Amino acid sequence: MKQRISQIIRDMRQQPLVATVTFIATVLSIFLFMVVVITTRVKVVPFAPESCRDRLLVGQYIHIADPGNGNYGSSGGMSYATARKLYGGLKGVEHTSYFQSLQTQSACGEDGKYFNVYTRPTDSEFFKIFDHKLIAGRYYTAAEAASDLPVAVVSERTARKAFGTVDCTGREISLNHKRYRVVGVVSDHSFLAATACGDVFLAGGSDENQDMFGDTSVALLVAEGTDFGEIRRQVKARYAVFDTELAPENRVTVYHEGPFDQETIAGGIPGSNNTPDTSSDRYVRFTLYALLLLVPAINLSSLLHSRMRRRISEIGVRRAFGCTRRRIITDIIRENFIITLAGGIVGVVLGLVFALTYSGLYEDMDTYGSGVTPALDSVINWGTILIALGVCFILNLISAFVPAWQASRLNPVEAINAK
Amino acid sequence: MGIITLNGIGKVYCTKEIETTALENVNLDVNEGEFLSIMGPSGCGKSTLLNIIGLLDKPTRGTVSILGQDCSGLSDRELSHFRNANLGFVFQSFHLIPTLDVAANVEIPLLYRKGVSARRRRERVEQVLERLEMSHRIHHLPTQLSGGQAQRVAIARAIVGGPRILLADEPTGNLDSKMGAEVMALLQRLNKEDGTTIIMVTHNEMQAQETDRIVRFFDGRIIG
Amino acid sequence: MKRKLLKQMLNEWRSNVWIVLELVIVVLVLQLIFAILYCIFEMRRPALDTDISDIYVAEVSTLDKDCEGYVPYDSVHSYATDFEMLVTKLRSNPNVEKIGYGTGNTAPYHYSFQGMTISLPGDSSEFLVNKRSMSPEMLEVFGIRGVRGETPAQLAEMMRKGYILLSEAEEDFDPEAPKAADMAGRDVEMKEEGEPKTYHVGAVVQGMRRNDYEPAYYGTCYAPLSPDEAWTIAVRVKPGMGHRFVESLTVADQQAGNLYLTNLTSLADQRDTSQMQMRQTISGITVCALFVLVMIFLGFLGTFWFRTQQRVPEIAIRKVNGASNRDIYMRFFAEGLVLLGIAAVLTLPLTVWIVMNLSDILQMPFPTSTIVVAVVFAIVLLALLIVAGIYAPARKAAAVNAAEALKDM
Repeated sequence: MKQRISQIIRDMRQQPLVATVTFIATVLSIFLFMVVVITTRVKVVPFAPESCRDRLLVGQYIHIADPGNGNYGSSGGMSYATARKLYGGLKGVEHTSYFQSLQTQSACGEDGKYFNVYTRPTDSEFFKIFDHKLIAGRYYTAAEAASDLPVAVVSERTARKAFGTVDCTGREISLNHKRYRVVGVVSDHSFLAATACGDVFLAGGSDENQDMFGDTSVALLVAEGTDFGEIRRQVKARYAVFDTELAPENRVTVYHEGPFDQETIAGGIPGSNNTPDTSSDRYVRFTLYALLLLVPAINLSSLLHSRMRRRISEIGVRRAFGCTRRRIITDIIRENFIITLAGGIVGVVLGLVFALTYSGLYEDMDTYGSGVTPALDSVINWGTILIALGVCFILNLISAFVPAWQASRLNPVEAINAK
Repeated sequence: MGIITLNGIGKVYCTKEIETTALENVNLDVNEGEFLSIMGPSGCGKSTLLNIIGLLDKPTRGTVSILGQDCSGLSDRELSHFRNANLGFVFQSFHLIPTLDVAANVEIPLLYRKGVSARRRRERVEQVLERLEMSHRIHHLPTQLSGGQAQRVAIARAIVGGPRILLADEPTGNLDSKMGAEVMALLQRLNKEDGTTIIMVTHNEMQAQETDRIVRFFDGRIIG
Repeated sequence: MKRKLLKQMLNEWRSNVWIVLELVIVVLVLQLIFAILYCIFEMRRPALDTDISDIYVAEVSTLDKDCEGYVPYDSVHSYATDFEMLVTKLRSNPNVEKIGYGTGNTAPYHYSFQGMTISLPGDSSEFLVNKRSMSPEMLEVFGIRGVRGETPAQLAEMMRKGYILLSEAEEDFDPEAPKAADMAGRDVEMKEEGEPKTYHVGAVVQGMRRNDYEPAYYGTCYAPLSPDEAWTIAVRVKPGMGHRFVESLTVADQQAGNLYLTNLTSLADQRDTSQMQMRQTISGITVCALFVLVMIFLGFLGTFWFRTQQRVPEIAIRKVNGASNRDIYMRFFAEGLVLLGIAAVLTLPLTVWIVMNLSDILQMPFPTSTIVVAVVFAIVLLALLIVAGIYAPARKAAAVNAAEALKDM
């Protein structure tokens, strides 16, 4: 191994420019690939407060069509009543939480200064699904949520802004001119946890609205080992029941494959009247991945081809002394893997630093314009390392295989005598 | 029957419309432990013959038997293993790998042999280099060696795997007469001490005279 | 000379095949990227063709019943009176020049669309418009002008009479549809929740799209609105206030009766937030383009550098036989450009096919010039990059000392 590496270094030194170009190209391609992978993955890997992502389903919208009246239909958020009707008490679901979307509100602590916060009314089950870490106090109770008491759980950042301390349970915060009592403080979290994030959580989650439409979403924590398809079948059956209720008005529901899993949410839900197309998202994503690998791979391949041509006589000599063709191939690929890995490590480190510090990458998910950065553990984890290794391996394989194969087919006599 | 038997060997190179006959009906028996030299003018086919004996090239006609085995039907993989086990090569321009040090260059044939541990390989390399009085250069790169030293390392590489046959293609061609004489002495020693069969292509009549038998070549045929 | 060049390239075919293969992919990707960027920029126009830097928008919210200071509404005191009070308070702010009010889709950079159809009485063909309801002053806040040169103040006057104002559709989507110009000064029927209502069209005016990239296949209908239906406001402030305007407002300035302002932002910020996704798309594909360009640059640099080393004797012989440095340069450049040419020819049919289908894929109209622009831009840019990548190796090649090089042989 030591021999192999020192041979690589000597070989690279003999052709400094081709070696530098190879190295830079490797670093650059792994860097870009990892940045793309990381930004895609933070949308799906579990991290607090969405550690449950693998078992999470979210129901968001309702779409009612009016077949008697052309293409007219209504779609939008669900009311609490609709959400319960469609998603309440499903089999195979451990916890069901009803909550509303984020709103900007003007908050005011005890010093009389106003600042904007993102508030989210939720029920108490919310905290059983999403692991918001308590720093002080407690979550609000089911009873408090059911009777819409003005109590709030605030984030650490909000607590410090409003009170200058996290030790603020029992004190009052004003939100849009209404006073709430703080019962708990939770740690700050990345707003890339789009379903669970918020600065202030308000006890509630239900609305008295008897209309079909409203602003209620529902989160389902699916029991370990239960198939998402099974949950969707039950929801679909609920839709059918709903249809019978709508029948007298001559209206029908339109089912859009809800509730959605994290991958679908990450891909972006295309409004309330469309079915998310995960497969086309995937198709685009994999084309991008393939492109990001293929272009540099071909490039590296032609560079390797150039490097190998300097070593033709070496290959001839090795063949003369009994090296098989297969061994020539595996040796070249192995040697090239070391170079790819070296470039890959630099590329991955750069990629990680970039992904952790540059919030512009997540602009498209930054619905609230607050400038999000990902949680450390959602970027650096075994999955990322494994993917990085895998990418180096694949990049190496597709860039080295053809030059290696060509080298193995050389006629040993001609190779030995090649200049 | 000798250690090498060539029977009716012919070699024709076809390039586009031109056919070039390199070898024509060559029959040759080499005995075990023989030191044979092949002589002839440039382009007479002696290198081609050496490559065919070395199983690096295939004849168009005829059969090659080495150590009693008919080699014509062997696959590339089997040929590789056969070369590794039984044949050693020495080239005119040494063909040491410039990016590997002396020890690593000598080690090469052992890398392609199954079941030789790294420790065993190192021991064997040290042993061979010591025998050839090159131990002091073990961690040098080929560019740091003189021509004579480089050829000695190349010979060390050729014999490290303990082959029964050594094929040398003008081994002294790139050396001055003093170094050439040293290399010849070394080959003689290997032939005498180990009983290694040596086939050497040379232009040097004096060196050829030192060998057991001279085969003369002209236009692809043995003429004496 | 040319034939010889090709022949020598054929001898190098193994490494040339790689370069051409890479170029084919890169040419394709670049052409696609340029086609998309061209379409986007071709379409890009301000959603509202007026200077928006001094415009601010805000929503109006109602105090919760539990809040201190909440006064229940009665026969005298209503939402509308509170709303008028809030507007009057803001109007009297010394920094405010104009203030108007409206609904969710009064201002641009908001996704809501209130689709209505307008037709002339007795004519069944319909004109699709986005109905933007607002107070007449809003026209002055946004600086809407008529196509015949009517000033915003004159248009506001028309709206005070209850007239509506129409703009033409920018994209000729439905040639059958009546034109706004035909409706000017006439009574029209607008279908709103089934029942047609009759309005008088005051004038044809400039339109307002939902964002800078939207192909507007619809017209805009500016319609009057009463304060009890309003829940957003927009103000035009004295020029050059910037963000200081928001900071200058106290909590009391933003509150009147049971109502208070929320989300007070400049329209420019609103635009940037709402177009984030588009910007992300543009920067994403630009990064992709840069990446493949850098790869090509590195690839040519590396490969041609190697070729120079391989060809030192050949170059030396050429120089001995009277080739100038310029000839050597040209030979290297020609080699790179021929490779690019081959790749370009190979990709052309696919490019044409993809660009032809772009409008389906991207769901936006695209001008036929796209193909030409995409191909020319991609090829020219690549050619420049290839020349740049080959320049250093070519210079090294030209600097070969013929005597030295031949001595070694």
